[in-house]
Amino acid sequence: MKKNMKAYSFLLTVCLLLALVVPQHAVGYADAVSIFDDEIQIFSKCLTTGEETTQSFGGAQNALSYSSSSTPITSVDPVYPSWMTEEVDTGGIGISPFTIIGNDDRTRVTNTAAFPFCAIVHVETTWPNGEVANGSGFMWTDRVVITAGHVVYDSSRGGWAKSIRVWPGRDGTTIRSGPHNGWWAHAGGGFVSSGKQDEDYGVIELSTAPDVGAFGMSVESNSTLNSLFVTVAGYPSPVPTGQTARTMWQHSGNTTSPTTSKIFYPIDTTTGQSGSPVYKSGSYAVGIHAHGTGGTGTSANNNSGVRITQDLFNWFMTFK
Amino acid sequence: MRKGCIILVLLISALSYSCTSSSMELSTADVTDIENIFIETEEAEYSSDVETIRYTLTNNTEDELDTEYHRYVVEMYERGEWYTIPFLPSKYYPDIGITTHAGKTSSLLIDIKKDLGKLKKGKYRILHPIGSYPSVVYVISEFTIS
Repeated sequence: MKKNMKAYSFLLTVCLLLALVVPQHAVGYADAVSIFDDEIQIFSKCLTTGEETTQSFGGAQNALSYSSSSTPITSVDPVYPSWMTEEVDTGGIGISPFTIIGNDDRTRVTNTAAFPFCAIVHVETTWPNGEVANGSGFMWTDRVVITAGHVVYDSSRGGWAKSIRVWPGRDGTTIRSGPHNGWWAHAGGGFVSSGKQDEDYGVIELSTAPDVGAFGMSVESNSTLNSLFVTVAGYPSPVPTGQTARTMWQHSGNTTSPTTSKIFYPIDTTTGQSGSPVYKSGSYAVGIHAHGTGGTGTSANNNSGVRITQDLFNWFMTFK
Repeated sequence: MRKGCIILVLLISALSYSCTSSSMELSTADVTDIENIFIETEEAEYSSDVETIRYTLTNNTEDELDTEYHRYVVEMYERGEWYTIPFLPSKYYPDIGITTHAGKTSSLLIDIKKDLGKLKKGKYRILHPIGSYPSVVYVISEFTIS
């Protein structure tokens, strides 16, 4: 009898524990898994102290902390500069979409003081071997720039950038702000460890904060990204023949055939534009420009960027 | 400069070549300075199992030189003609540019194994693009695979 009582007590305790714990986590986990299906790994380096870190973000473990929210946040609005009295948004205004990639249809942005162009940055990277590369990026917070992974990390040039300088809204020698120095650099773990294109995204934390506003961001569905009118604006290097160096250029068009981690578009870009925002009307980034045409399939005649997935969006939100 | 290294300039397009530099606010080397820009592979000869080839871009102009990073071309000489070796489908093209300061050099790496696959014995040349649309010229350096 005593033995049976002990067994019943044990069973009752287990049942009570299950009743209290499992349903909540099970429901939360089930909801969360559909939102956070993959864990992403981030590699980072402090450009002043040399400290290197690795962190994981997303995945089931992280998803539990989000389980109370049944509707995930999928977009965040742009932030306008404090000096801007009116919400003048020139984002998404470009020339008509075109179908033939190969002719250069980019136009120079001359009003780089206007939002969102003032929040698009020229990135100058100096590698450990002393060589210099040029890329682009866009403001995400008052002192955080989003860019491509290969703008901050290059295994063929010694790995992490030795130093990074950033100029928002630059127009040749007309400097509106900066240079702002990079403090921490982050990049997708798969890109750093094995050059994985899908994880070719990066973040630069600046030591000073330019007052130029920040882009919004939006996670879009496959069907939307199959034909979404977007603009890519950044700092080509070299610039078109006869033009002023370190100037901003833009072109617009429709996206096509997205994959789970990349978006494609027949929008003209050249080297130097890696890290440019791929943004829709209202200055919401939906991707990060990273690669030129090449290979087979959709990438053969489309430029491409890293897609803002829910996981990536969630990681970027940790900087807000 | 090594004897075996040749610099050949191919004018792909002369459109807008008459653009003057009067509107330029920031000085960068133009394609007209091409005689002072050249590339040279680290070695003149490589074995057929070579995985990477590094070459040096030298800017002997008086200005900064902005060039493309991953848009090189490799050609093979066969039966009196140069043939472009197609990139493997896995090759990708990061849109990042490099700046070579006046009188300085930059080092560029070709991942032969990843971008082109195994090269057979023969005479080859690397073409590195200088300038931008609509005027692109190439500086060239030869090497052999033995």
